[in-house]
Formats: sequence, structure tokens, C-alpha cells
Amino acid sequence: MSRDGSAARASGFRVGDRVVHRAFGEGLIVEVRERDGFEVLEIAFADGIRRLTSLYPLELARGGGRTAGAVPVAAQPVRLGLELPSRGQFRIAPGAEELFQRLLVGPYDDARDHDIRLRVERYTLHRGFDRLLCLDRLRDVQKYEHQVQACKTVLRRMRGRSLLADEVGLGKTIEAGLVLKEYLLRGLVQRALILVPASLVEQWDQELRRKFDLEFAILKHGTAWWEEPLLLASMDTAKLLRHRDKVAAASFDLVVVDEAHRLKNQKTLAWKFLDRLAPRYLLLLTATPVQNDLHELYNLVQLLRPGLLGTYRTFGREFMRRGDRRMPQNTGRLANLLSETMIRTTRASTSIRFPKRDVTNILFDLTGPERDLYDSVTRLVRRLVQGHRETRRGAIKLTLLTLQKEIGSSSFAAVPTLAKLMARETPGQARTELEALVHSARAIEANAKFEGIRKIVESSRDKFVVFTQFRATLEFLARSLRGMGVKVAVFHGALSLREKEAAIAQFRDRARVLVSTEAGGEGRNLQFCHLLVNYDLPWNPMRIEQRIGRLHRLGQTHDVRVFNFTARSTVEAYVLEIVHEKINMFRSVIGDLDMVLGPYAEAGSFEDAVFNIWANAKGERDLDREFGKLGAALLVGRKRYEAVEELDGKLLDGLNDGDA
Amino acid sequence: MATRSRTRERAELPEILSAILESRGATVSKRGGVWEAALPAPLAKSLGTDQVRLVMAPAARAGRGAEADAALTERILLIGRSSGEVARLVAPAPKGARPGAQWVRLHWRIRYGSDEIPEELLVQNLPAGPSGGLRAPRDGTLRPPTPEESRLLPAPDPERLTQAWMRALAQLERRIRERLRPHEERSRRELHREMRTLSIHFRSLIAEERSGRRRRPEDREAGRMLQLKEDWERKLAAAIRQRAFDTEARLVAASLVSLVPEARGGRSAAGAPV
Repeated sequence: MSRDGSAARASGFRVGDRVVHRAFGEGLIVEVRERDGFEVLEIAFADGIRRLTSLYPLELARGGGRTAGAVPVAAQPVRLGLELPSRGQFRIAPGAEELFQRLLVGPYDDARDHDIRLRVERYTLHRGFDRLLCLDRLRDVQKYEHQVQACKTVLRRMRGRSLLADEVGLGKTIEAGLVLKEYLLRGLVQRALILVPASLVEQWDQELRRKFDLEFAILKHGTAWWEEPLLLASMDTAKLLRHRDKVAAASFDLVVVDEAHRLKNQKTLAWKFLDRLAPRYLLLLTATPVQNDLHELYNLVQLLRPGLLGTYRTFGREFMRRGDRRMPQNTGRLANLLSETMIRTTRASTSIRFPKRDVTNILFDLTGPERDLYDSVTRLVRRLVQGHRETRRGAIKLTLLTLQKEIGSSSFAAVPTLAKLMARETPGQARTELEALVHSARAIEANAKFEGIRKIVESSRDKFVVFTQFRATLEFLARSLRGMGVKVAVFHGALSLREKEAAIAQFRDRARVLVSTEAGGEGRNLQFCHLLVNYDLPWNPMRIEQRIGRLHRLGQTHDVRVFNFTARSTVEAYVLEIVHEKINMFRSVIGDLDMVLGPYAEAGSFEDAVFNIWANAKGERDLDREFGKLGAALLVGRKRYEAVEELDGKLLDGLNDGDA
Repeated sequence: MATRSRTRERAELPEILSAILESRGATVSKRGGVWEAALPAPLAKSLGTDQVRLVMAPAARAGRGAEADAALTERILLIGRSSGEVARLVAPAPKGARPGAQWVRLHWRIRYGSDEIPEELLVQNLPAGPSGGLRAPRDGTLRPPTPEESRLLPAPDPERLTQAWMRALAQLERRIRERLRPHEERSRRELHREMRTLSIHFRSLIAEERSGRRRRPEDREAGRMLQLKEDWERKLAAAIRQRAFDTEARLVAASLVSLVPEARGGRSAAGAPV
């Protein structure tokens, strides 16, 4: 029931108004409320109280008891009690009354315009989700038939609650983005929340911004994030005690969960948290919904369509083979049930050709001065790390980690950090040593790895991208390439958005080489080029994958060639060995690198592990042993991931066949 | 069926776009399935081009005009939507009928919250005053009034128009309710069925509790079932919310149709059907 406050918005009458009715005479409004979508006025007339809808022509009596400033309804031009009914389920959009007024007094439009308008209205009426509105509004997205079909299935058949379990690399993110954009465009979703692993927040943010033109706020402590209609958060942050109530109270219309296999267990906080959110639309994205136990699939479906697969126990009894928690039985019925909420596209079922990755690792010998500088910096880093007490180590560790990465990139990159360290030191032996390092770093004008670039330029005529982590190296590379007469486009984080677009356009249309920092690795589509040089190697495998992913993606028509430049006996050489030999990440796409990296998946933790081994090593044997252990841990992760992928392939693809 | 509607859309779109451009002063020439529109300066400024090529059935990428350019198409359609909301139209009075009868035509665009019911354009024809027992004139007979007729057409009666309006609203609501009813009832049935399935589980749960098996290891399962029941109750509320059919009706165009005596010698020059 709406009291006089909201009712006043509907018709202008309020409790206490004196009104005149043609038949019943003068009366006093004693109640204004809503019933069945109509405003009902209770009016005390001389012969008793009557209930009338506000659609009856009523006029305010003279001196109708209004407070000063109120405009009597009858005083407004041709009002006629035309306010429209308004209920929860059926409402009339504003503006109708204005058209009515124009019918009465004009001005009238040209009849031809009227006809055109009606034709346009008819044309733009789409039958349900038969035609997706979002397709015309995407930028820089190559859409594939299976993605559009998946989007339509989610919207039409699954009513926005779906498990998107496509195989790796088929664009689950795009499918989720299409659904999200369509709902937003149709006004069916006003508030949306995307929950992703912490390591993917940045990537999602970039993709949503660039491809779908959606500005998502990122959940950060200390901001009023709960007021944001579009929110992106890491699952771990969102489920924190201090956030979870607010997230639940925000009542999001649509929730998307990436890497949803993390919700495989009903007893976890993440599962309970999501269950509590109970959004109208829910999309779970994972390529591997089953890892060890079919009940994991049950738990995911339970979030989407509770009860679809029966109870926990009946599901086990009906669909799981005795003694084997991974193998299903009654697959036909299970497939039927799953097809109500799960979509799985396999590479084999699409005609998409995935390009190969062709990797060449090039090991360089540093020049004499470079080698001396590298070893001196390494000694300095080890001494400072080992010399500091545990409690004080954290403060300086980040600087030293950066320094070690910089010197691995080029001597130019290390100069600013060395200078900063030097400035911190009080005069003494340490400062003298740092001064000497700064001096020798500044004295180096060449870089051994640049020979590799020279050879690529001379031996191939193709465009190529050179990735580096540091601006100083980037500037050196751009300078040197221009010195060779090569047209170079430069891309880094300090450029404005327009300059970034211009740099990409320059590379596409005119330049032969794009030299880019990590900022170029995120969200930019460079698939018109198929040659990539990692001039230095990030210590984080996810970053390496992101770099390659810019070129090696759906729509790339050539096989992608990757050159990894590393110098002998450096951290990068060890990192390369691990990611190349153990994870084998250069050869194939790894869907969930998180699963492979295991405990090292958290942002920075793999880098930390690498740095700790490097900085605490007593000698080369130490390094070999510790890096060997790290590699073995990742190898286990990789094997586990492959086993899960195989299981899901067998299980779910078999179900799909059953469905067909 | 989908194919047929796609074909129709393709055939219609260039016609609509060229009509819009023409109504805004563009010079449009048609050759086969291709329309060429030379835009006047103000239109060229707002669309960012002085020439638009519209192709009925694009055979190759090179031949595509505005149809392929979604953004341009959208901008032109937007121009088409920017006016023409309210019009006065006339129709010839049938033999023996008294000229002067009036009808209100309201075009509502109904947007249903559920994708099960497509968005639709609902047209209402209501007599604005005594219609002499006649039905509203057919679309094909409607035309814009000649300047002379415009001068002679009587101003609409506010009271009669208001009554028509009130009837229109009541009728609109009734029609929307009728449209929604089967879907709502099906939703209710589905929920009911789900609840029945659940109640079977609850019965087994209660039986387990009563039989004293709760002290056995299955106790855990029983506890879990209780938890499940609570979850279900909460989810039921969510499901009902999810299945709400929020509907919005937007009046996109309105016209007042008056019967006029048939002009001698058929329709006047300005009287092309609308």
C-alpha cells in the first residue's frame, strides 16, 4: 500500500485535500492508497465515505486545504485527472501524458514523420532474444558462432542461470560478456557483480572496458564500493567477513564467477557466500567443473538450479558408479538434466583452427662489463637480503627484487634503482660501492641481447612485437631500432588512452616493430602480427601467458613464433627452464594456470619464491637444487591439471554426445 | 520462420532508412536494390558523412552501405524516432456514415520483463465520442488531412478524449494481464512441482529423525537435509523474485483519426495513404 507520499506523485491528491465530485459534492480525502495498480482515494462525502480511483474527474475545492505553495490540480492546464496507474508488475513509462496533451492541443507532427516513426518502432521490435542487441555495440571483438549461440541459449533457455564449461580457449569470457551486455542493454540487469581469482581482476577489468565498453568498479577497502552498480572483485576479497554482508545486501541482479571450479565444495566459505547472494542471474565459468568427484558438478549445479539433480545422496545413488566417484552412470538422464543448465563447446565441435606456438629460446652471453655488473648487483642483492634481519627484510626486499629483475632486462633499466639505493645510503663503503655500480651501469652503452633483435630484423620481413618490463629498456630498444632505420611504434603505461590507440594503429599500418612494456600485454589485440620477442622474461608465468595471449588467440591466422631472450647464468635462465621444460607453457594454452601454479598462483608469490631462491643461494648447486624443487612442484601441478582436463573431456563430452 | 523475418527485415531496412533520410531533406535515388542518398549540410554534419549508400542484399563486403555499418544505421533510425509522435489523420466516411466521428489510435510498445514473451507493439483504436456504430477505419484508408481539411477539422473534445484515455488504460492493463496469465500460472505450477519434490525429501528426513537413526552415522546426512530445507525456503523466495514478470508500457505514438467526406474524384494530391 502506498501512503500519501508516493501517491502524491501519482495524482497530486493528498490526505486532507478537499475535493469536489460531480455527483457526490464536496468531500475530504482521508486515505490515498494503491490497489491493483490503481490509486484509490477514500473520500468522506456528506453521505459517507466512498472509495474512488483517482481516474474519476475530481477537482480541488476552493481553498482546498492545501498548504501554501502547493499547486491545485484544477489550476494546472487541462489536467483532467490523467495520472497513470503504477504497480510493481505493470507500469507505464513516463511521457504518455505529454503525448495525450499534444493530442488535445497540438502541435501535431507531419503525418509522414508519424508513419516513419511507426515503421521504425515496428522494425526495432525484436522477438525475445532472437536478435542480440549487444552484437552491434562490441568493440574489437571477433565473435564466433558458438559464442553467440551460447549467449542465446543462456538468455532464452536457461534464463540467465548457466554453467559455461567450454574447453579452454573458446572464449568463455566473451560469452559471459555478451550475456552481461545484453542484459544491461535490455535493462534486465541494473547491478552486476563479477567474482574472479585475484590474479585475473586486472585482466577482466581491461577486457570489460575495452571490448564491452563497461566500466566496472573494483572492490577495494576504503571505498564506497557497495554503491557501485557494476562491481568487479576477487572472490577472496568479496567473501571477507568485513565485505560479505555488504555484498549480499547489495542484491546484485547478475553474478558472474570465473574459475568456478573453486566452488566445488559445499562446505567452503566461497560456496556458502555465493549461495547466500542468490542473484536472479548467475553464470559460472570453468573449463573443468569436475576434478576429483562428480559431486563437485552437483555442487555447482546446486547453486544454479537447486534440486535439479535431486539431493546429494540421491544424486550419488542415481548418477555415480559404485566405487568410482569420477565415473557417471545413467548418462542419458544426467545429460538431459545438465543440458538445462550447462553449455560445453569443445574444440572438435567448432571449425576453429587454433594456431600453433613455435618457440625459440636464445641464450646470450653477456658482454664483459655487463657480466661484471650483473654479478656485482647479484652479490649486492644477496648480501643485503641475507644481512637484514627477518623483520626488516620486507622493506628492502621489494626494491632488491625489482633491481634484480631490472638488471636481468638491461643495464639501462637498473640505473634508476641503483641511484635510489645510493641516495639512501650514508657516506661510507656501501655508498662507494653503489656509486661504482651506478657509474659502471651508466658506462655500458650496448646490450648483448640486442644482437638477437638485429638478427630478427635482418632475417625476416614480418612485423614483430618486443616486450620488456621496463621503460629504460624500452627506450634503449626504440632508440637502437630507429638507429637501424626501422620504423618503431612505442607503447607503455604512461601514454594517454588516445596515444595508446594511435601507437597500435601506427604499428598496424606503418611501423614494423612495436616495443611495448607490460601495459601492452593487457587487453590490446595484436593478432595481425604473429612474431613476439620476450626481450626480458617476467618471473610470473601468468604475465608471460598474457603477453603471448595478445597474439596467440582466436582469430590469429598464422602460427605464432615466440623468441625468448635470456642471458646465461641469470634468474631469467632458471625461470625459462621451469616454465618451458616443466609447465611447457610456450607450446600450448594452459586453461587454468592457477591450478598448475597451485600455491604459487597468488599475485607475486611465484616471483617471491624465485627471488628467495636466488637471493639465499650459497652457490650454483644450491640454485640447481632449489629451482629443481620448484620445477617439480609445478610439474605435479601440470600433471594434475592435465588429468582433470582429460577427465572432464571424457565425462562431459560423453554427456554432450548423450544429449545429442 | 526466423529466416522469413530476417529476409523481411533486410528488405525493409534500406527502405526505412531512405525514407528517413528523404524526410530530412536528402536527395535519394534508387537503382535496383541500391539507394544512394546525398545528404544536406545539417544532416551530413549530424551523421558525419555526406553520402549514404544503402544496399538491399549485400553480396560482398565492398557493396555494403549503411546496412553493414551498425552505428550509422542506428543513428539514422534515431533520427526517424526523433519526431512523429502525435498526428492527426483522416479517413473517408463510408457511404451513409456521418462525417465527424473520431477515434484515438495509441501505439504502445510493451516490454515484458520475461524473455518468454517478446516485446510487442500494441495498437489501440478507441472511439473518442459517438462513433455511430462504426468500427475504426482500416490502416489503408488513413491519410494526412489536406490543408483545407486541417482548417475545418474540429478540435478534439477534452472530455471525450479523457474518457477514451481512461478506457484505453483499463483495456491495456486487461490485455497485459491476459498475456501474462499463462506464463504466471506455469511458473506457479513449476514452483509447486518443485516444492512437492522437496516435500518428499522432507518426509524422508522426518522419518529418519523419528526412527531414531539420527544417532547413527547417517545423522550427518539428516543434518545436511535440514540445512537443505532451509536453503530451499530461501531459494524459493529468490525463484519467485526471479520469475516476476515486470512489464513496462511506453506510449510511442498517438493519433487522432477523423472521418471526412470523400473528396470528389478520389483522394486529393496530399492524400496519399499513410
